[in-house]
Amino acid sequence: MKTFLIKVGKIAAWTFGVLVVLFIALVIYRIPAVGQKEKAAEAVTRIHAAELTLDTVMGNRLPLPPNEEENNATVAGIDNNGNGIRDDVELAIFAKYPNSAKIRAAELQYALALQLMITEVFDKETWIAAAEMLSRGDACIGLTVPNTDLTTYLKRSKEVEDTVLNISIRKNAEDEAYNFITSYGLPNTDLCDVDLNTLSG
Amino acid sequence: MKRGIFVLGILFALLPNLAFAQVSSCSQTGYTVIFVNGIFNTLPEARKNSDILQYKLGRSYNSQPVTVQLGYNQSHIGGAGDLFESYFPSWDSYDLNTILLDIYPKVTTRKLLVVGHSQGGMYANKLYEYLIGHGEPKTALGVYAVGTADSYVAGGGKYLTYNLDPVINKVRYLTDLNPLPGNIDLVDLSPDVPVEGHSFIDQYLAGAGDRIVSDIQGELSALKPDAGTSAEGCFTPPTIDGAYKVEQAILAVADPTASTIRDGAVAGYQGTKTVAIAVGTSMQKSYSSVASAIGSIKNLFSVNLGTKEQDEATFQVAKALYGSSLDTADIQAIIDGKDLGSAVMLATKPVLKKEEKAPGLVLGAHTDTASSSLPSPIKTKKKGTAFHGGTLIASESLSVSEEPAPEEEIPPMPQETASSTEATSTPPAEEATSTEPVFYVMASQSDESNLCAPNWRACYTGSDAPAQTRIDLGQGSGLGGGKIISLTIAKDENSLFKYPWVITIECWVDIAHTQPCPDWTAPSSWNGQQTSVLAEFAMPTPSDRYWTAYFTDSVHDRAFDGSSPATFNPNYYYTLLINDDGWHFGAYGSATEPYWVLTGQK
Repeated sequence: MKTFLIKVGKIAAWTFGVLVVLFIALVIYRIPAVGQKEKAAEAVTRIHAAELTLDTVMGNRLPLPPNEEENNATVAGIDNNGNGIRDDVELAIFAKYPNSAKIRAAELQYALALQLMITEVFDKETWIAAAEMLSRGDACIGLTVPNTDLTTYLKRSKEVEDTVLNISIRKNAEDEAYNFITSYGLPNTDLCDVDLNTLSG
Repeated sequence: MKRGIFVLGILFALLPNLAFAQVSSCSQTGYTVIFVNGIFNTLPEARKNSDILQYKLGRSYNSQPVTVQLGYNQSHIGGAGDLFESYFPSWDSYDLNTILLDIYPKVTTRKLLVVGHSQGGMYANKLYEYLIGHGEPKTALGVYAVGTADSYVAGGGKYLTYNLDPVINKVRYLTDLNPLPGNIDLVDLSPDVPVEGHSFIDQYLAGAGDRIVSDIQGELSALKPDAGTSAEGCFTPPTIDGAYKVEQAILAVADPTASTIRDGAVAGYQGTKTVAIAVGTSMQKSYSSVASAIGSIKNLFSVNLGTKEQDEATFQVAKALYGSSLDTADIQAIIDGKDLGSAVMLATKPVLKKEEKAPGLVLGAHTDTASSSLPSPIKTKKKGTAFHGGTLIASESLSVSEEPAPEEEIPPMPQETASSTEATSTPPAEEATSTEPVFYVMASQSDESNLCAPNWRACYTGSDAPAQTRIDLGQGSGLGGGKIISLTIAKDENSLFKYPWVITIECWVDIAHTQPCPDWTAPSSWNGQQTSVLAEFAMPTPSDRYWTAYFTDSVHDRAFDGSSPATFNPNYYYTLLINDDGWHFGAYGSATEPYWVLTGQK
């Protein structure tokens, strides 16, 4: 009887040991995934925190034109004034709409969102966050034209897209980001970072 | 003991985080519009479509918020999967479940309208049917379809399909899906937008945005916030079962590979190395891996490294099942890194709904043998051009290639090697005494010595931009009095694109081509209700060296009096429009004119 109990005990101990080892293995296996999740959460926070400021819209901290070669050497490009918008894009929008702060605000916000899409996205969660920002920016551009004027609306959003995605590495970065495309809901309120009603033009 | 508890505590703290979907309550106020994208959109376009729809709809209706959501219909296998899905509806359940699972936590209103574009119209119907089947009331749900590939709109919803929508017309022509007929002409399209088009934004919202908004608002106003049977959220989501997970895992492997191949091909020659690398690494240089990409969703094939014979056999099974246009030579060339344009390896060759032509008749097209080999390099071909002797179509055939092609027939060619920009016309020979039909060349531009690289637009339109070229056929009296049977054009056989060209014969009252004929053809949805247009798709021959459009469909190709095939009116003037339908093809011709042969029957 005693021998039998010892045997049962040994089997139970082994079983428990195997389960513990398997569990530890599972936890170790999951460590990269948990790390990735934390990394994604941080990126999503960064994306949501990105916001166009009135200072940027009014050109209070306009950057100098960047060195083209340096600017085009990376996907992110040069953003010397640190407002999240590439300097060449910011300058191009100002050059095109020097007298309309409204259009500048909408296009700069859209440019900021596009920049996030090509620099911050690496999974579905980050894609959704960037896509929501893009839709807000796109919708903000829509608020600068009546909804009967689709042509002008499309022209304005496209000119920003063409400026931000101006070289192949940036287009490729967009393609990479869209590998994570999925269903998402478009924002319906708080579309513009800067209230267009307070701006001229 | 304490140590054990401590260890267990640490382990539980490290447990994988299990994500539970947060389900919002379901509001009786407001509308949710789920937009399901369609076939062959670029991914940014798929997203952008929902932005533009929201812009057109506005943010509220009936003083209630309107929220658009993208119900993303994913393209599997590098875009060609969408075509597979069209032919094999069993694919639907996985994508349908994915859309439902994705939108479930985000739908927060009882009133729900699903808007589907193109293939998305099919998914819109299936979403509706799923929801009704899982306890949601019909009164709270609606469907609206734009350019739908489906034959109905679930729930009796409205739809809008452009009469000149080439994608839907192809689906109608090439498949058994029977999409709903065209019900609108778009007349105010932007000048830089092709007249024939399928784009949700460029054609539908730009050309009929007000109608779409009005239709959608009409459907929204009919919705009532009646509760369904779901315990939580606004509907009951599908359960994730083992089959779903397996399919998800397979696609996770197959899609990126196919995507790489597609991108390589789209990039053209530059993409060749990418393709070779993709195949050589990700796909492990095996036929079965290609077959697996094609057939992955059915879980019939797995990526394995068998013998070449086993691999090849597996590929052939997949090819037969899924209709791939590739053959083993194509795959071998891709594996060896010799082929470009490899995206098309995953394209289907749709089964023509039309009846096969009567055996033995050569109606302006060559007849391919069942087996085709990989095309030779361009430079080694096309040095000599051989034509059929005489204007009547003889049964003999000659090869245009320096390489032997004993089993192939070549398209009928006129004797003269016309290189002028004017169409050449040869009247039929003496009346045949036999009752056998007599085919003759009505007009042609027959010199196929010049390859228009990188694509036909470079030669025929002088730039890479325009998608079509128009050729003056002259007066009807100069084209013979026969029935219009077919038009053949010569393509670059190295281009593996299979998509049909659009061939249109236009009729004009005046020599300046300003007044369309009022009574040449029978108006129909096929020709945009026009009385001056005969239009057909030119489909590739199996050897991929020619395309032929047949004007012998008794429904599409009717004369004004209803007879078919149509004939040329000797008093009217005609032009031939060759349109590559937006795909960049290589084709042959002289340096200034495309190769083409218009065949008639006396």
